[in-house]
Amino acid sequence: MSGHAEGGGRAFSAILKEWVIDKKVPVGLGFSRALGTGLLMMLMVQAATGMLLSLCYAPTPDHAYDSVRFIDEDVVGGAWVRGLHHFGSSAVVVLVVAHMLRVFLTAAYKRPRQSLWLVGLGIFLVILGFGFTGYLLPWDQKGYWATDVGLSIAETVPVVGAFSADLLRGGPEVGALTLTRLYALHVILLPAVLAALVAIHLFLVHRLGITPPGQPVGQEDVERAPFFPDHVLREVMVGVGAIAAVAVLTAVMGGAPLEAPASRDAAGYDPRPEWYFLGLFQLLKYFEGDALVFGTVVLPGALFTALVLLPFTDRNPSRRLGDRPLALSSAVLVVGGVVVLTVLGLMDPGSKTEPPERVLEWDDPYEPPPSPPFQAPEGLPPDPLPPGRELVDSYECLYCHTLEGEGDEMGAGGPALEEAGAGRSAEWLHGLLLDPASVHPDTEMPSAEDLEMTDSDRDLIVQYLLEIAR
Amino acid sequence: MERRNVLIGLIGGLSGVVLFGLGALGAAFGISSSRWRDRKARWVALCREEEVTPGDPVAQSFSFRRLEGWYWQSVSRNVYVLRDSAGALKIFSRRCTHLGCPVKWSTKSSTFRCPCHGAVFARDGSVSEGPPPRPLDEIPYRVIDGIVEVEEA
Repeated sequence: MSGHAEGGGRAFSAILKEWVIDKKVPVGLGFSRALGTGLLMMLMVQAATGMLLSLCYAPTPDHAYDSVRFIDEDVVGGAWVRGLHHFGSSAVVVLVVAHMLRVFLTAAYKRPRQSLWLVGLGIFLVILGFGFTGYLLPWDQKGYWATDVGLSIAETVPVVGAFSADLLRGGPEVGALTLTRLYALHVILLPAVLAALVAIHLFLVHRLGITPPGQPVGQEDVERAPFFPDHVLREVMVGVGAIAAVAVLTAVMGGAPLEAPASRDAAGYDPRPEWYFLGLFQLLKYFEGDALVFGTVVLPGALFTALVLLPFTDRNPSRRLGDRPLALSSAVLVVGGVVVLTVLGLMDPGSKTEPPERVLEWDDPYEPPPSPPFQAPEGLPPDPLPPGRELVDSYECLYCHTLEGEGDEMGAGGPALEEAGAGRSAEWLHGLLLDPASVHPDTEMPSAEDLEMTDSDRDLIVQYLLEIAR
Repeated sequence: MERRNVLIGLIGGLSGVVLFGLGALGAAFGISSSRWRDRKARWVALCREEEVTPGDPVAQSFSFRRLEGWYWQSVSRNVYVLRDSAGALKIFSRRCTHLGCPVKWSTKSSTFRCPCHGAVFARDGSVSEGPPPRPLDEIPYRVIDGIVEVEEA
């Protein structure tokens, strides 16, 4: 046994030696080369806080909102955990975009690292998926409406759109099945895919090495320096810096926002997505009618396809920005476009209205709703109502008549039923029920025929009227 | 070597601060969310005192609501009510003191029997056979206007 343990220990220290301690990287790396590890650290914080949140979260429409309020208001550190997770998601988006930009600007996607770029694009998509699926979980107005709009966007994809949107939504409208589905994607499928992609990404980074700064394609043989501790410190500083920024944001904002509970009936509510989807949101204002598909599918799709094909279409061997006017101008165009759209989205009046605040569904959640009244066990159930009494109810006699002082809700002034049979015979009462006008010419009382009263019912009612007659 | 050690110290220190912070936050979160908010237990009606006769123990239920985190749980309990040899009213929990299976009164043998590990309790709650470490738990009660009440628990 001890031999195994020692062997395991040796294998571990060998991996640590090869991957960290003895690793050599090109000289001249700066903080911009530490963004990937910073992103990885931020993702680990997301995993840790997400794991904690899942301990206290119920993905059902009747309890999701209350369970999130419980986390915010009752659990010690709960508002911190949810705040870190919420603002952490923004930090993840910032870091992944910054990392991709750095890779683009240093032309690190070029030979031999095309596969690394493709896996990275996959990670980018998964991260956006996390953002989209995480939204809905608090089941507040923002999440509900952003998901509703997001799924409508998915519906505009030709041919498969409507089908896939229904599949994601678990039906034709956002509801209970949407919540369980997006929750399952958020906590099971996407983390598994992300973990696999990150593992492949890290393995490829290790295999292919860090891109030597400024060197043309093919020139990998450059002066090298130890990876540890200099560059590792840069990476840790970027990661810890991002985490610290998220913590400060959480403290300043007082935790993650929570709007009023989700409701379809939201007169005057202005749905807005998270800031990193605002550019797309703004873009969709410019495509009217059938042109919508250009904003939802064609343009984003073309941009993403261009990114996928980038390592294969960009044959320029230089990694210096000055030699890459086309790459630089397209980057400026795309980034500038996204920034302008996002700013326009932020300036939209609807983005400035204060969302409805969270509401308390009960004043003091710790005073229980009244307990059911004590029912002393009795020997026998109460006597059932006589059949005639039930028929009086089912023919709605008490709309006009009274019984035991109650009834005549229409204010018709019909006589008390107790009086009806007083001093009368059964024949007389039958005659009255069959044709009320024959007895009282001005009455509004409907006949047995009008009421579709059966003969046996009429018998029972007459019997009952005679019983209660006084 | 001096500079290298400073850098290693910084790496360890920064990572340590984050790990410690997250660890403390996680511990506080996990522990505090495992406790329900303390609330004063209230008395719940169980049965009428006059119904409890010197014969076989009677199983009686009571129920109440309590807040479990965010959820109002309806809790139902079942207990045995009986008169002891001196005629005093007693209430026993049905929870076997061994590992918690619900005990059942056997009219034939006049004992409480546990369906799990062979425990047998006498009519006064004491252990007659099997592994339980102590007699059946007695439940405190009060009688108001002829109605027996027990505490929510």
